[in-house]
Amino acid sequence: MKINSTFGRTAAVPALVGGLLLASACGSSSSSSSFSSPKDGVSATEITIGMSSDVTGPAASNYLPYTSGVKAYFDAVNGKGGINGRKVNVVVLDDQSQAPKGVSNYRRFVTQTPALAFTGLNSTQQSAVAAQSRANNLPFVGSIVTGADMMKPFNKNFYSLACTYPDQAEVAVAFMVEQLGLAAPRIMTSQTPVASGNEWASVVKELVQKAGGTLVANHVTEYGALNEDVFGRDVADKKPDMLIAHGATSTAQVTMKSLAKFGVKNLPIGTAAVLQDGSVPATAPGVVNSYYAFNCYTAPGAAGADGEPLIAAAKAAGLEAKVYDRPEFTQGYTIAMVMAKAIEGAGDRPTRDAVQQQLDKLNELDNGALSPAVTFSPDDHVGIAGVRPYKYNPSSGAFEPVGEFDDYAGCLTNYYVTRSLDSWNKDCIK
Amino acid sequence: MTASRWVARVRAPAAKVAAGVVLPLLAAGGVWGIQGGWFLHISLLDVNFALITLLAALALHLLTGRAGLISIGSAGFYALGAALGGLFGTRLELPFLAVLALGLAVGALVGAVVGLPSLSLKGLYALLATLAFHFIAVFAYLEYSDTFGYAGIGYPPVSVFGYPIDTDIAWYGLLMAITILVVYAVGSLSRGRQGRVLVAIRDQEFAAAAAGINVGVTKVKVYALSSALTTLAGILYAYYLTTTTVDLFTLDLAIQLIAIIVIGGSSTVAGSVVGVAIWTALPKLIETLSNQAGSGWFYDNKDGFNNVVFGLAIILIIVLRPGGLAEMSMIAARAALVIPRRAPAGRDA
Amino acid sequence: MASFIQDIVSGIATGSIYGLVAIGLVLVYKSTGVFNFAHGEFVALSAFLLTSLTAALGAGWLAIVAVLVIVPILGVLVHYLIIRPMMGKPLLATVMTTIGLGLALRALILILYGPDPRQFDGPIPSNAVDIGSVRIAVSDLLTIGIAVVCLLLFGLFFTRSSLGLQMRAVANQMEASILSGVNASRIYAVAFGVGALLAAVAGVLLASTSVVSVQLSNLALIAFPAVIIGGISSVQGAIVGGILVGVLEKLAEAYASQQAAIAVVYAVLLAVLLLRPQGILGTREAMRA
Repeated sequence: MKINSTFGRTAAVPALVGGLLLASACGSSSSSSSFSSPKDGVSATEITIGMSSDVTGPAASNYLPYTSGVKAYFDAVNGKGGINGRKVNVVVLDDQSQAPKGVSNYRRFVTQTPALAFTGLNSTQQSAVAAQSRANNLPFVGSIVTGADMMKPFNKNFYSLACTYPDQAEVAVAFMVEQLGLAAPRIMTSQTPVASGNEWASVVKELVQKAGGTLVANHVTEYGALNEDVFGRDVADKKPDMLIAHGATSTAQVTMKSLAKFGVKNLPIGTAAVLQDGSVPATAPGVVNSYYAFNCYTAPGAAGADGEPLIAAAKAAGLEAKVYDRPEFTQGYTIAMVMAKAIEGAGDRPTRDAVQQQLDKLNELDNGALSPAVTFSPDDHVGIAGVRPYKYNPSSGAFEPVGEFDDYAGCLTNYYVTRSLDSWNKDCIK
Repeated sequence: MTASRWVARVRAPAAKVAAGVVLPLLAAGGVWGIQGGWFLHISLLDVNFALITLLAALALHLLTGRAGLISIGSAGFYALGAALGGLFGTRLELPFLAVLALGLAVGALVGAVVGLPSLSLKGLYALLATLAFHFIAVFAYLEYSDTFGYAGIGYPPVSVFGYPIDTDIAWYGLLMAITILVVYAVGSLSRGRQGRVLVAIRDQEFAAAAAGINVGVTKVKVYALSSALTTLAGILYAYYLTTTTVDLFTLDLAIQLIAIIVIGGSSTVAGSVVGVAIWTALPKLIETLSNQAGSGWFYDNKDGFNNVVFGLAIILIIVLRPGGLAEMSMIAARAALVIPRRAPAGRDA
Repeated sequence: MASFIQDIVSGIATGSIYGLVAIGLVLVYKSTGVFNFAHGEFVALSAFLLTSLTAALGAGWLAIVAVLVIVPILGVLVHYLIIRPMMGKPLLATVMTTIGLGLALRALILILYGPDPRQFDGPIPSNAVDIGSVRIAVSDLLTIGIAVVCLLLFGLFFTRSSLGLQMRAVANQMEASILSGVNASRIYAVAFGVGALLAAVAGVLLASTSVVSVQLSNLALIAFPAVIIGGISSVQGAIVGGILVGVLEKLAEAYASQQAAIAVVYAVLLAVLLLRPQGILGTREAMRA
């Protein structure tokens, strides 16, 4: 059964009555409020948004903040009377990062429990629904990652709101090389054995060579390894100038322990957005000299005044800081905001097609310090372009943004469209 | 022993129930699903995954329930199937049915090799040999899938005799046809001489050997057959998902399959069907119940509950009723239906 | 050469932990005939208990002692509730029971502690010493030392204490020892408790040198080959097997990849199964069909 994300079951009835009253009140001024389109997930009083996320599985620590961000935004919207008089009902299904569950959840929102728009899935699951997502008309508005299969060839229904790994790598290599000020830096990389890890390692390798440096070694770290001693020993042996890392929180923590074991000290580390997690450098305090994550979303606590509405919404939803003060929360919140904007623009008769037309028109949606502006056009669904470094502050445990997104715009090659890193050079930072 | 004779008497009708009642029910349930009468939000897609899982469960039933052998290598054979799909289907562009046939053949061959240690080694060692196969197969899959690029192995669209299998209902038809064939084959194999040979090996290996059964050849055969079937399930799983990556083939998948046949009852076909039905419905039931709770502790931990229930169910069933739920429901059905009808005729109940 | 020696040392240290876990498996298998597929979950459970007890008691040392007391008691409880009714049943039933137990325990850990990994700041220092050109982690040396001490203690226990002698008697000659008045039932429970104690020692060591996550239970998957390669009939074999597997794993990791490591270990297991199923130190007993 569907559950309103704001209200418990007991509160649902008065809420529904309230919604009906509100709808009938609007009805006097606008006749179209009785519009409903069940196959698009729209009733006279309610809009259904579908979501499939890892709530209890291995990647829950990344996906839970994202899920909470989506829900918190729509909770706030509902608190102000919903969108054009309709309450938004976010239905979240847990997929535990398992492909069959994710596919099942996605298809359920296409026809069975129709949703007006959908968000969620990891990159493997996205690959598995890529063909279907082109064949129906359900707007699929991002996830925290974007699988390559969703973007190529162009998918009219998929709107990416994730920073791509090549984007992150382009800024990461330029910034780290500039920080160290070395003419020929020696760099090591690490990755988990997943698609995005392979992509990360190969792009970083090419960029490092373009920057005049050398890639000393790439280590593939395994989920659930007891230690990364060979990696730790290798770093101690080869003494790279820096480590450019990809992985998951748990693998990165294990790596930190092994680096400490072999007496590695003061290593500069630059990581993909997925490792923007203070528990990683905090695992072994002496090892890291400076820890930067490269991301396109800013955690609410580090975004100044722009983060305040997010913190207020999170607190209203009863969330703890360890859930909401993360970039994934901002990302979920932004995805929900983009959806709401499009649904609102679709007016009193929101359908999937109308929402898509609105999404295609979304131009330079300003998100302040939270992320670069969001722009879609009918033939470009990349949405967000812009990455900046976030420096870990060991005393506060927070990640602080370094500069503005615009400062790093020159580093981006728009790789998913151009498929070439040729326009990148290491002196691209303003 | 009266108990075991009684169980044996229950077993024959159990197979008939599987063929005669449960499968049409599953079919009806599927059609019902298509028409939108949803039960616990189980969709046709879930039914299709359940059918694929049933094939793998039946393969394990053959091995474990019939021949008393044991395997924890099912996920490895899934990985083998997914890799063979990539080789024969994606690379060599062979038609789907040819991919399935070649998959069965290669699966049988690999299965026979994996079964070799069981010739000379007793249970635990043979089991660990299948565990070894799991890790080696998954590593081989990983190396092979890397040659397809970042996003794992993608599979071409499926068509059978010119009919495109591109919707859930078409897949349902295809999978149902395969499942019925397999159930029939496994059922008749179990009833026939081969079935009795397997049971003889399971229950009295030395006596079977003394009675002139070539125990070794039979064991290798059943490993080959079971592995071929699991590889088939792996190919279907891969094509139905359209893409596979290495993270799909976890040891947990193999453990879930063991749980399925133990909970349903490892010695009957009906047991596999019941086990798969519970495996499909239980998470949905827990999800529905937890959604009714709305939020809170139960809601936050629904996945955990699923596995706690599964794990404890395995232990309870093995300790209390090794025949599994299928046998229990047969007993219940007899108690509820058969006995009252017979009682007026004056027979003792 | 230096890095080769370093990897060997890492392998021996990691392998000592495998060895401790493998001894637990062998002890339980030899005395009760049950191969415990849930043994790894005891390791993970010990590590998690350690983190919550540290928070509750305020001191790491106190928490370690508490874990080393609580987990064996849990082991004995599990023995009486689940394993005892299984003894004498076919291998299939016992294996599946312990697999079910592992599934439930893993899920329980997830419910109680959530998906995020945890940290334990234990008394083991995290630094390295240079011996010539070879850099060796202090924690590795400590791990090896602790494993050696454990081995010596168990050696004394088995050869000097009457309980230990009775355990060996039951493991080797069950009927004879029962006839001579050994309380076999109590011995089974003690074996399970000692197995759990070893799992707890491994859990504490891993919590101190690695990250506490439910993945620690995967440790058992690598201890299984250690048991067979060393020889399931001997306690010394288990530790030798553990160290061999640890070294093999680290060398495979260094010269191939981490993904290859577990495949290499299991390939060696297959070879041992086919060529010398009694293991390196095992005596030839009834492992053949």
